[in-house]
Amino acid sequence: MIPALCALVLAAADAAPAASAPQRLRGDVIVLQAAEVHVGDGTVFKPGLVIVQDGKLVAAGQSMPLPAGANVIDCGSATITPGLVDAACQLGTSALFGAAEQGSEVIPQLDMWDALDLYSRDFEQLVADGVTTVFVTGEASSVISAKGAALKTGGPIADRRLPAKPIVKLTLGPESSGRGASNRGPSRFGGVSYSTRRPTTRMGSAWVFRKAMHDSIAFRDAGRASNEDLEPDAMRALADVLAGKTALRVQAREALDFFTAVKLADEFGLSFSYEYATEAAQCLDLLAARKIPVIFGPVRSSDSIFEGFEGAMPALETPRLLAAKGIHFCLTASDGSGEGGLGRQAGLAIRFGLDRAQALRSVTSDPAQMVGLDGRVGRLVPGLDADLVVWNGAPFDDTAKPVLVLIQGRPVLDLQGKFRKENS
Amino acid sequence: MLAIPLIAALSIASGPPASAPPRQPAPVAIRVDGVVQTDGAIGPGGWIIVRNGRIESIGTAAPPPGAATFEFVGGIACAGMVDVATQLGAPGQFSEPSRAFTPDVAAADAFEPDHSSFLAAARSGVTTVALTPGSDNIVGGRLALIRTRDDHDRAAQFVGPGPLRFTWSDAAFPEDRLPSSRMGAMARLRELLANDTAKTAGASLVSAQTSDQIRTALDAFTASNRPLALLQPFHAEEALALLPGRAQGVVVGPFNLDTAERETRLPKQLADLAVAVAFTANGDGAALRLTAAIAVRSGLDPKSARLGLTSVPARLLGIDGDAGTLEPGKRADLVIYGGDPLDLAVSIQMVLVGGGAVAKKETP
Repeated sequence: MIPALCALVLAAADAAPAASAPQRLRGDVIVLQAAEVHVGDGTVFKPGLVIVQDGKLVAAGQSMPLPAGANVIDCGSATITPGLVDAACQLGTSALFGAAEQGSEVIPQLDMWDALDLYSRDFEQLVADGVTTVFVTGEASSVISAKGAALKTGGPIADRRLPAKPIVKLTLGPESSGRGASNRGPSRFGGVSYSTRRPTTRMGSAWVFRKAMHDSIAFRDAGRASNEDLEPDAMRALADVLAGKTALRVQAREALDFFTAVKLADEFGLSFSYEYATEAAQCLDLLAARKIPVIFGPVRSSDSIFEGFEGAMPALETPRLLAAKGIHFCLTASDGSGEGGLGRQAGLAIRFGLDRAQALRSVTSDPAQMVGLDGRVGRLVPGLDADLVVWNGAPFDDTAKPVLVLIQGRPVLDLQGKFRKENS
Repeated sequence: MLAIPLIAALSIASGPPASAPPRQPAPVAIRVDGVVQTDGAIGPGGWIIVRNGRIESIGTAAPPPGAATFEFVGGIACAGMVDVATQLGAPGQFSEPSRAFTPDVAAADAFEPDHSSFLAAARSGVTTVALTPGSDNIVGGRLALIRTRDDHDRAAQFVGPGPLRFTWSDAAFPEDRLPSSRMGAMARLRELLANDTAKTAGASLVSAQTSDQIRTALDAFTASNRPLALLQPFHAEEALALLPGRAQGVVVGPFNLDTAERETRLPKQLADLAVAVAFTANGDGAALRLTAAIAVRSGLDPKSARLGLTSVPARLLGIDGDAGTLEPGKRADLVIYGGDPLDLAVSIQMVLVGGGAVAKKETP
């Protein structure tokens, strides 16, 4: 068995174009066996195995006949889950001049893909956290952001981009009105310019959104630009939002801004999903009644359960409360990684009462569904990408971490050398 | 430096100097012991016959009657050097940073034909240069193709407009100018590439440094079927694998004895990937040769190094039909070295630009 395995893996490694490129076992069948396999939709196989071929998942189950010549990797007492998916990631953008476009407050014609640095170390960290797919949303310093972009966190550069549905983000509250990290306040001595930004108030952000939508409607109906601040491409992109071709996301931390978002959406007949949502616990009934999906987080482990800036309703318990209300939600780590990463977000949610199976769903299949990628990632079912994480303990426990991560069947993290060992 | 007296015209053989009406200059025959071939190797020598400013034959014919003849024992003939990124004659005049996108700015408008630096470049063995807009703008403007001497050896000569110069590194994103993000710039770059119908041969010259700058530049240019050459991509080892088949070449230099090994080994890494390398040193032939020699010391094969001084930059500028190699029919832009051009102990014996002798070392 073992010598055959060696030959197989060695052959694959020799065929790789460069030493740094992870070997792809094209055509070969990989079988991973583990004590538990969590499919991501609530199903668990104990023990379980998954079969991978050509970067896709072929099967997952408790036991089944193994294909002849399969490359079997025994993960022992480990647990296998789908690769994690973050639907509102803010990592990976080009450090200096990536996404903070100061040219306009309204930039839905732009594409966050163009702001990404695929060589950023952020992606290595995300892989180490078990996150294999991210949807990078627009920068919060714009009132209406660029379209988000979905990508794999590892593997060949040419295979990274994913066809997520187009989503632009409306940011209400302080980030878009001048106090965000990427903005500068207007100078006390000079006028407002693109480098000092407007709006400068909460009401200003709402005004910019409302005016942009009205201008877009006028442009759509009359065919000519009435707003000297907006490029025609921007107004066309907003017309897609009005037509439902591009989805709307709203980022707001405080409940007040959420209520403003509902008001604005109603004015233009729009639906939206709700990102960040720190004070979602104050809006549970409205969220449930209007079936607004929530991308919740991040919370910090330092957030007090007794008092936080959000007042008496602790953010830490929000996932449990959302679940209890039957609100469709997922978790995000936003720009957090490592101890602030997506796995920790799920761990905190479990500690504060969220069911384990739902916690897993909230970082895999639910976020995948929210960005239109549930046909590609988020569950260990046949036909989906073979993106999976092997945990050396119970997933999301503080004592466990990913030890092997595959993206499209290729090892992108292999702490125990399960792939490497057979190479040497 | 070499002490090279200027010969205004080939007065030995062609009579009165060039104030007379156009005339057929006498053919020139030069005997050398080696010729740098189109593959960069040094091949056998013989007589090189030049007529009407063009190479007529190499090693296949005897000097025609009435030819001015020169013989260089141990001499090796090579195409004149070509430098794709210079600011000769007008340093500081090639940067117009008022806007991020200035595709209509033309380096030709800052060209001063009489400037002494072109003569110095010619004497050092550089026969064609491009004047190149600087790195302050995302699109800095159009290169100007310049022969360092005209056919009468009177001044430098504008040949035509070259490709566009782009800067995709941080230098093109000052804080006080829009667009302020690469995301915003990318949208405008795509629009410009799609709409720029100016047909110039050659490859757009793109400054990109980090791996991701290179990736995004390659994506934008490939999507619009635009050839590009990268300028000084020194922090990008991860992205080198993206270059084959997508970048026409890479321009590096100048190297000197203090240049970090991380930079000097780039030519070899590129050659291993079959990506063409051109050298640049602001039109200074001695510095170009030093750059090529240091690249060889860091692993580049000598053939690729010789091509990096001549045919690769000519191809990147789109003038390889006329310059960059010694072949019958091409312009007689050639340099006779005392040996291998990569041997810095060897001096230049003679420089011809368009068949006219710009410089010739006195021989006893």
